[in-house]
Amino acid sequence: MSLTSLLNRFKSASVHPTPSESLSLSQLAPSILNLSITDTPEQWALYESLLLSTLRTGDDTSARLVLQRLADRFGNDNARIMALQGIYDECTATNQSQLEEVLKNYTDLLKDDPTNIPIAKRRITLLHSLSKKSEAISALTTLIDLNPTDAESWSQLAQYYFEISMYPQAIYCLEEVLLILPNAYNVHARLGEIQFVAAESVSGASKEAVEKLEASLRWYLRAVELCDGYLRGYYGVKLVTGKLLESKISATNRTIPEEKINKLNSVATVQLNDIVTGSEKGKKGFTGYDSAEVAAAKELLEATS
Amino acid sequence: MAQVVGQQILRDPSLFYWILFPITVVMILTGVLRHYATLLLQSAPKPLEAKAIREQKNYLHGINLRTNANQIPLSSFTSRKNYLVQAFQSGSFLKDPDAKNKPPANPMTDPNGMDAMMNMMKGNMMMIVPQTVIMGWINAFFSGFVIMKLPFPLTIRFKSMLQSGVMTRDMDVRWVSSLSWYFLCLFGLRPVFTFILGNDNSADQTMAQVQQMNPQANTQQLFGPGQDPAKMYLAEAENLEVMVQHEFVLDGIEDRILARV
Repeated sequence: MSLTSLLNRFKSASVHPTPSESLSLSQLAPSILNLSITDTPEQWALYESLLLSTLRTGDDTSARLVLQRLADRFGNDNARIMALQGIYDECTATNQSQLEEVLKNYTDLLKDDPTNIPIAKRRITLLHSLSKKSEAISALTTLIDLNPTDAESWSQLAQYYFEISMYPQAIYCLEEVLLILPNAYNVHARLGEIQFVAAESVSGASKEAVEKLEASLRWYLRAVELCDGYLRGYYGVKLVTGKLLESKISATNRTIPEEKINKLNSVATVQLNDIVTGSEKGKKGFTGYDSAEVAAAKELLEATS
Repeated sequence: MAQVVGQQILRDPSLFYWILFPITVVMILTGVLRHYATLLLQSAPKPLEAKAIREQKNYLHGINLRTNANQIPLSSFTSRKNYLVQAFQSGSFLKDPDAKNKPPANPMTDPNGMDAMMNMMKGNMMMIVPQTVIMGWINAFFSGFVIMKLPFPLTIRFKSMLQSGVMTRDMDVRWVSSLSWYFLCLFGLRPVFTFILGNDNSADQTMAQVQQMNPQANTQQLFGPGQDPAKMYLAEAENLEVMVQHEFVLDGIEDRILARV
């Protein structure tokens, strides 16, 4: 197989590959490693993806070889190679104390060079997975103070805050992401989700809860406006409008008139129906949806009809 | 009247093998050589210090807030604005807060500026030296030769371009002198270099000129040498302060979506 066809295999893989998908990708290792090294950016991108796939499936020998070739080309003191090496170390660590060792290594590296962003990010994720959540958050805020224009850091921080139910902080972080990437529809939908969860956390029909639900609805609508046929967005619209139409929420607290909510609800229902039937039949223009998301949408449609 | 017959000049065919061909080959070879010499001489850009990164990125943060303010609710925007204006004015993001009131450092003594200047000088030397040498070589050996005839007619204005080095007023413009062939090669070989060396080669001088025009594009330095970050921060704080208009994009989104279907 040629370099481009191999690269396309990796590019067409989903963002969160299933175990079988990862396995089939990592089984490409021999054919990739046997290609002659042409020293093109594509080849090294392929090596990097392959490294992650092989680590995911536990093929540590191939991973070691790939990493070695990357290090031979770019040098062991390259920040990116250091981070990849770190991922390898984390994956091959078998117990808690070895992970602590890796963590200590990261801390030492950062002491030498505080601007090593890839290592700083590895350290934060490792802290988080070692359930030192508050340490991870404080390390991440330091990183953001250094570089507040990095969308990845902000969205990661939003995730960490969301996990410990600090919703206003999580929303703040996602708003920062929007300042950097104003058209990221997935971030809009995520804001809708967090507002929705935040509304759930306050008592049912209070004014505050309704306000949050309406904010959530608006974020979802914006996501849908930016991206036609965005399943997650329509799912959210349907869910939130359904919630707003529940009888226990008094009409006085709502700022959006009931008739509009009704209409939006039916728009979302129609769109979801289209997506579900379209993707089940594999119609043109409806491929590429995550099957789990389609199943969830189907369930929601059945539950409300 | 009979048709004007073009000028006929008898040329020795060896003019082609001994002048036209050598000039072209030498030009291509110097281009390739210059490309590799530039690569060798280039020093890797120095990584920035943490404080310098912080200074630049927080400045960008302010710009981001200003350009995309309409993406977030008014309350979120106001709280961010108040915070950033205060921080920008107090200069807490500055690399060196004490230097706020001092005049900007002389770019000649600034070590970062020196680095950039050294690189620029190396690049310039790589252009100037070979050009001078080759032009001297052509002048010494081949000046005054008429080496080829263009297959199409041209207006008289091209005379100075095509016949430099040959002081004959009455000669047809279609005749090309050796020195002019050198200039044509100098400016016209870019596609050849792109073919041999790939897209971002440094063999051609026009490319280098483009790079000199916008040095911002490929350096990570946001504040050029000689610019005072403290003043830029103050200006940005003022820009943020005067922003009174805020239209949240989510206002009226329900109607927009309903109008769409």
